[in-house]
Amino acid sequence: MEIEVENTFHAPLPHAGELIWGWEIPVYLFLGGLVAGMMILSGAYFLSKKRNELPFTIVGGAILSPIVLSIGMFMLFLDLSYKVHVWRFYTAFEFTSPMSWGSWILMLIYPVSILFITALLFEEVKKGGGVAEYLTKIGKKLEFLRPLGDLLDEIPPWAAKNVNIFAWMSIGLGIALGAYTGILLSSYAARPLWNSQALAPLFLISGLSSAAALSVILEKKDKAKHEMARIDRVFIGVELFIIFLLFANLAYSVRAHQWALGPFVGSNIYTPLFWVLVVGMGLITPLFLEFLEVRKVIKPTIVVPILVILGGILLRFAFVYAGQAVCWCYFIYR
Amino acid sequence: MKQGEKRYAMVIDTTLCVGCKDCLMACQTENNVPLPFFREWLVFLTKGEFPNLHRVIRSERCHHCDRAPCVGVCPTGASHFDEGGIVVVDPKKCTGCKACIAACPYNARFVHPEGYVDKCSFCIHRTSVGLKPACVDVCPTHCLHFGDINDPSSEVSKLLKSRRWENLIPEAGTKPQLYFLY
Repeated sequence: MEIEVENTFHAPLPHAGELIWGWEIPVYLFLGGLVAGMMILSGAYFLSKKRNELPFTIVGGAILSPIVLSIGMFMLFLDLSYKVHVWRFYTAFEFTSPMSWGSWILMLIYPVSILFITALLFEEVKKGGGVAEYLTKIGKKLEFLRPLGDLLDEIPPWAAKNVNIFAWMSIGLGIALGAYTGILLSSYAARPLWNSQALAPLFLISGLSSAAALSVILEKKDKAKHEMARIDRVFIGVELFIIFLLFANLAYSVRAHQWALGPFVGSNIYTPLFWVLVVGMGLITPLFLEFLEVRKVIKPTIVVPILVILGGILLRFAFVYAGQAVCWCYFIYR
Repeated sequence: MKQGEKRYAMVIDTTLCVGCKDCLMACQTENNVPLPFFREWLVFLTKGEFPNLHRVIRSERCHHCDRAPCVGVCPTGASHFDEGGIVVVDPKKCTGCKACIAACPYNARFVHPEGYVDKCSFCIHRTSVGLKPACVDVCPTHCLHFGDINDPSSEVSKLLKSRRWENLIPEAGTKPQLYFLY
């Protein structure tokens, strides 16, 4: 393939027009972050014995985690260009490959998550009430599993006895998953916008923020909604601080990194996407509205959590797409 | 790089290249690369300021880096170092996750229509039996040279000792193994 290159940065580059990762990856990164946030909040609030105050955050979050994670992993599967080889991820472990670490972390989450859910539901059944009756009905439908023997009878009490361990593991794996979604991008030196480890805490905190926002929507009691809105404010504040650190990191770095900021400070689509929609609509507006809600100037609505979740999705889109617009290979043709 | 081991590299004499594209034709046919995809490409670069302009023509491909980031990030071991440090993709192990494409600072990789990730292999099927890569074999001006830079008596070692050369973006830290003579 012949490439005409003049002394300009807008030169055509080899394979430059081809997008590496499309919409599937940002959607996965968001869902992965959301699951990480739900697992951490669920484990942490369980350990602080707020079971009755925050039923959705603890039990609902734990149950939703593996379901949402499966949707996210399906997005990853959609992105693969050689789909029949997907099993190859699980016949190898490559120490230097973040993607290999990530695929094994995803596999670890399922058993821990299922045991944690089992323990939570077992306690729910012991307590009695509506949920217990519903679960007993489901249990009767699962009678066909009886041939598996006593094992099925023994797991729930065993899980309930060790529930604190699973809560801690849930927090640990949640942090690993949330940070990994950032490290996945930040391990590529060739794409300087991604190449900052600030992405790991940024995506982790953004995931926590989205999970807290989801709890604000789905918790029933006002007190619970208030509690989740309160911690969401902290997450949004920290997220803004990490975005500042990320920009300072790149702006004060070498030329490749300074150039990497181009898509976010230039006259292209990523500049308004990032500053207006992600920072303005997804972070500063909800922070301001929550401030007004606390002062009782306005009543709490679902507008704030929806803005936070939209901001979380668009944050991943902005970084995944803008990061591919800048490559080290620009330096070859200078 | 260990001493005494083979380390294949390519030396490209930019002063001899006339931009005839024979190397591209040889590559597409030898490796059955379907258009519009390509494993190597030509760069026509105009340097300097008018009226003191000069043209550089470069035949470029995968740099077969000593510290190849594409090998490090591959989750399945499909991207690996083969004989003489040649970086090769094993299509049987490739899932098409595209991590290696993102990791390559030279944009040398692409997704083959069959699904796996493809790139220059220094024609390893030829070099392993003592032949030269197809592009080197067909070059009419003999501007492409291929050999073992760990062997001081090889043609490439002698060229690197006697001529001024440079790597492309060595600051990316990958120790590229394409050497351009000026």
